[in-house]
Amino acid sequence: MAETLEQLAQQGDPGTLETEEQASRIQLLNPQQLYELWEKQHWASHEIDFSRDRKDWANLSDEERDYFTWGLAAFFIGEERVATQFSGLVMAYEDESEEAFLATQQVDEIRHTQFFDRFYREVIEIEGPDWESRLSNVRENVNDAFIKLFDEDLVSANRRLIADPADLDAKVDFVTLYHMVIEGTLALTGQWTITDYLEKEGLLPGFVEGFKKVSRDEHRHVAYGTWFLKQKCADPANAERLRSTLHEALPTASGVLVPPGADPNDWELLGYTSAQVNEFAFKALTRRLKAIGVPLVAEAEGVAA
Amino acid sequence: MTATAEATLWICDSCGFIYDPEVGDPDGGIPPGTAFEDIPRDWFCPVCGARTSDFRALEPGELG
Repeated sequence: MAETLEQLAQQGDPGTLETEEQASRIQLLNPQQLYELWEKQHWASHEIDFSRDRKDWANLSDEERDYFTWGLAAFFIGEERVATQFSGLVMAYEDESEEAFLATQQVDEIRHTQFFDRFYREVIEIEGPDWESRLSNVRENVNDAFIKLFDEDLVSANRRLIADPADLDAKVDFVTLYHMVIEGTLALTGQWTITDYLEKEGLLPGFVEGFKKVSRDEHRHVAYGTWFLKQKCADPANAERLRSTLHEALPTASGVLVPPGADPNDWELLGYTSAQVNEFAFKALTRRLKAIGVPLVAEAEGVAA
Repeated sequence: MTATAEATLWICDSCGFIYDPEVGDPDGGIPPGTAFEDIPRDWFCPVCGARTSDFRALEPGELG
């Protein structure tokens, strides 16, 4: 039985004809509509009330504190990485609506970094006089797979776009890595797990309020990535590029989900098993691929996602 | 499915995906005929990943 995200991806997802017809009917918002949505969904990270959260944090169990220290580190560092490694895509806009939407996304990522920095300073009370030192302290909690994905693969994808914003292959690769893998698979899975647990336990209400707003922003970003890839993947060469980039990134992404010191094939945290978490991540990715119209495993290979 | 067909359509506020109870979401484990209120807690939008709390009921005539 497949356990990790990587193993699930190699299996493919046997969809049904009925499902694929349903998927092809999904209407996606275009960048102008997503920009207008952004204007309606504005929020301020510095207006979130963390007063109850400070008391809750002090009363968490050791297991809860370990889990959130690890899980939230990936978000804090990840938001900083995606905020500073996004300019290449903004430069690669193809019309003014896309430029407008992409500019909002970069602002969103900065807002998310501000939100996590506030939470770390005011609730977790991390030491450090400035962002750099606090980020450096938090970095101790992320694993090697995370570092490869965010410090090497993402940085490289951004640099290719900065070098040549008109390079469509580089743009397809960047959106696949950023919107499909980082935001649409990893972040979505972490957000779902963390929010579900905190809501069920009634903990950290200020964090939950802000984190849900972070998630809503990222859903909008993922909607852009889905729209973009659906347009471009009408060309089979781009569809193959999307598939190939996913297969390259997923082994690393799979490792990002594994808690420190855990068996990658069998772990459990706060009641969530590795199988549940990996299946959620896989489902989030493959269902979106159906909306794009590109199966994870090419149909000619016998199994369609 | 509830009595007022228009009121049973729900839209994802993040990406515009529309949930139609008549169609359900078979790929997501939701059979046709399932009211939005009866969708399990772990279901999510197939396009953007939003949870059910990020959906709202469409106003009558909103689709134009």
